[in-house]
Amino acid sequence: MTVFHAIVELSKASWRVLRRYPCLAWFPVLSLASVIAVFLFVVPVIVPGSDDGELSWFTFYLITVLLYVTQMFFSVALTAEALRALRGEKPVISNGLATAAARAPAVASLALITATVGFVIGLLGRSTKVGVKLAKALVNTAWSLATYLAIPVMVQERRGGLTSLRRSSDLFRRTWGETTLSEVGVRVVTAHLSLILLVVALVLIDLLGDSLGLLFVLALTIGFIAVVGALEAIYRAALYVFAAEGVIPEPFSGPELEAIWCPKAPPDAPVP
Amino acid sequence: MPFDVEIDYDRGVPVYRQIYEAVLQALASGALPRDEQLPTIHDLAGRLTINPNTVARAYRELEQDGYIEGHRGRGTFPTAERLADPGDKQDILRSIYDKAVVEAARHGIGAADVVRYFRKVRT
Repeated sequence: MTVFHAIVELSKASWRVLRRYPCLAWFPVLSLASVIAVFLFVVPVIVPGSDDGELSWFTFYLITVLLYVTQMFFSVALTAEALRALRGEKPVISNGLATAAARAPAVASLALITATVGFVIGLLGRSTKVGVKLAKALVNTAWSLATYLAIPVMVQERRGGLTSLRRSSDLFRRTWGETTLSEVGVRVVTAHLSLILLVVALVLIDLLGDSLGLLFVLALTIGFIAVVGALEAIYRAALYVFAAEGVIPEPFSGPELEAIWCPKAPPDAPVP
Repeated sequence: MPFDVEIDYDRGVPVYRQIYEAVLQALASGALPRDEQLPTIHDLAGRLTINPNTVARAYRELEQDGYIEGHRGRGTFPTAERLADPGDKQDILRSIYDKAVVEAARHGIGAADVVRYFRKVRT
């Protein structure tokens, strides 16, 4: 099976879950709305009006942490309900939000750690040296892969931020192929859909005029964020079940898909 | 007290395997009597908030290995013959001992310490 074929099959499996439980797509929308609300109502309080418009490093860092906390809160809520959907139970938006609220300290600590690392990696990106840029790309990829399962770990195993990260990197050692495939998959799917979205946007603006066209483009963009965000969270939840529980959850099993899943036991782990 | 399973994610052992081991342990210790029905897949999955496929895999492997058997319409029960066979018991104990010694050796603990610990736990 080629990588592209695997990505298509995994996307189709995630899509089957999303089609059955469309309420999962509301979480990325709520996340987007909350991020906008933070920008509109909280950031102006943190950033007092200044003449030069320059932000201090600390203020910039504070805003980054705030955005990470907001976004992670809804990711936790979505993941909790995606895991529920994979168990064959009906996901409920309020249940997801309640789970995220119950994990608030862990959400805050994980957001603080990831925001800090993201901030430092971002600082590296300001350098114009090719070597530094390459190092940044490598560190960024390694970090996103090692932390890929931190949110499902936090939800399912009720761990704190730091222990979720540690456990996520342990699980990554057993599922590096599937995790990398997912990272690549999300980028490939996002890039393809973005391209389609761009073409549709240009056609719509041309056909409907600026204001109506832009309105449609905005609706399409929100729909795009909702679908891609939900699909990715569903796959991530399935990957967690595979890594931690040792089984392939229902919509991801079957002859076509089973070839993709292949656990790699760490050298010191007991043989399953 | 009804049969129960506690999942320890820190062990690094897949959850289905932990359920498998918990059932074996309950059978060996008598916590799960021969005439007692095992929890249904959905019941145990619901209690542990895990995927039903995980419990199903543990039960499937226990059934394949002859420790439990499903009775249509009545549920899943321990297999009497498997546990009553003294030869099997010796094999199981040998396997447990081997695993414990190998695991202990990985941490630099000798076989004599393992035996001493088992004796201490028993008393």
